[in-house]
Amino acid sequence: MNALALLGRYFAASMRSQMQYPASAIMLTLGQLGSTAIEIVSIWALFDRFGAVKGLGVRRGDVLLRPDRHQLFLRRLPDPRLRRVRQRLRAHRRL
Amino acid sequence: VDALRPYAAAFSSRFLLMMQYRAAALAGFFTQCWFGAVHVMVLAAFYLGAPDAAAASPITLSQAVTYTWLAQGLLAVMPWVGDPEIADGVRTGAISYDRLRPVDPYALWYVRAAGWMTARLVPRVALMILAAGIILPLIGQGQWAWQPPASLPAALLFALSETLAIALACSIIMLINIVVVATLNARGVNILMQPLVIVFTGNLLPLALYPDAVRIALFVQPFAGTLDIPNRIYFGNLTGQMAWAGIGLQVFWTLLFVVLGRFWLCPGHGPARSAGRLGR
Repeated sequence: MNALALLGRYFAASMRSQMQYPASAIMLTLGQLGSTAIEIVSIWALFDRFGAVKGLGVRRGDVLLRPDRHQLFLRRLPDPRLRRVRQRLRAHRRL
Repeated sequence: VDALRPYAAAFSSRFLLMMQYRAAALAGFFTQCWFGAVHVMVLAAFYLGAPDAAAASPITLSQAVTYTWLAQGLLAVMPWVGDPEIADGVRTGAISYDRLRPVDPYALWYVRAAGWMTARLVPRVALMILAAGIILPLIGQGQWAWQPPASLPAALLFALSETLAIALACSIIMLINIVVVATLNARGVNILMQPLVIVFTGNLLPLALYPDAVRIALFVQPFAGTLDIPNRIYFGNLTGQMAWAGIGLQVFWTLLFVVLGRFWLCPGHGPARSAGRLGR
């Protein structure tokens, strides 16, 4: 048996063993979903109360989420001018 | 008094057992310092970066910082996992012995959960007071420190409210224990409780900082009583009638959860039958 097939077997066995406790498996799934969703809740609540902070707001791409723990990591978008230059470079290469 | 002796013994033996894990307490303390520092920095960025909104905020930056250290120091009170001893008992079948003991099963598990919680609480909160309340001001970082209570009445009310918070948290842990007994597996419910508890206790973000429209709802929901209500009493944000309303809510939710828990754990109902099945 090759390694990939063996890994596939382990995967299936793990899924089957977890599904032995169906209610627990459903709660586990919902909990994983919830622990990612709360990051967004906290960021939304903070920006809702404080508005933009030094020009940083909730625009798409502004906020980075660390999915593993409840921490906020914020990053500025790259300068839009820089992005336009990159787009032009890409278009140029295509020609 | 004799009727209470088994429960007192269960509490103190669990308390003394958990107090043996000094390395765990130290490790937990360092983790909590780390998370506390991250939370304080995030709050500082928002408060200092948007001064107008900060002035209109229901709690000040210094209160939010104190809230953060309280939340980290009192982390052991957060009811986000069931009692691991019960989970282990469900796995091995040992809880069927518990069910046969000539004591009230709900009360026995409740005092064991209380012993487990308070033994983890005491060393961590002491270290956190030392680090965030004493060392931080001594090294000139007083603005980021854990401040003392707002006043003597606030301190006394906080002591009462924190005791009730522990009682409420244990009653929530009992409900988790019962779900563990019913589903025969602790993992699912433990993972499910984490995001709920982190958000609704105020551990992630003080509940006062959520939008004004949802603040009443956040105040009356049960998890507020395990952290947010005592914290706000501590720094004088809840005073007079509002403080007593908060304490009343803590008592109400505790009683409701104890009644629900007893109902579900009493023989003949669902989870109790599962517990009996484990003995086969």
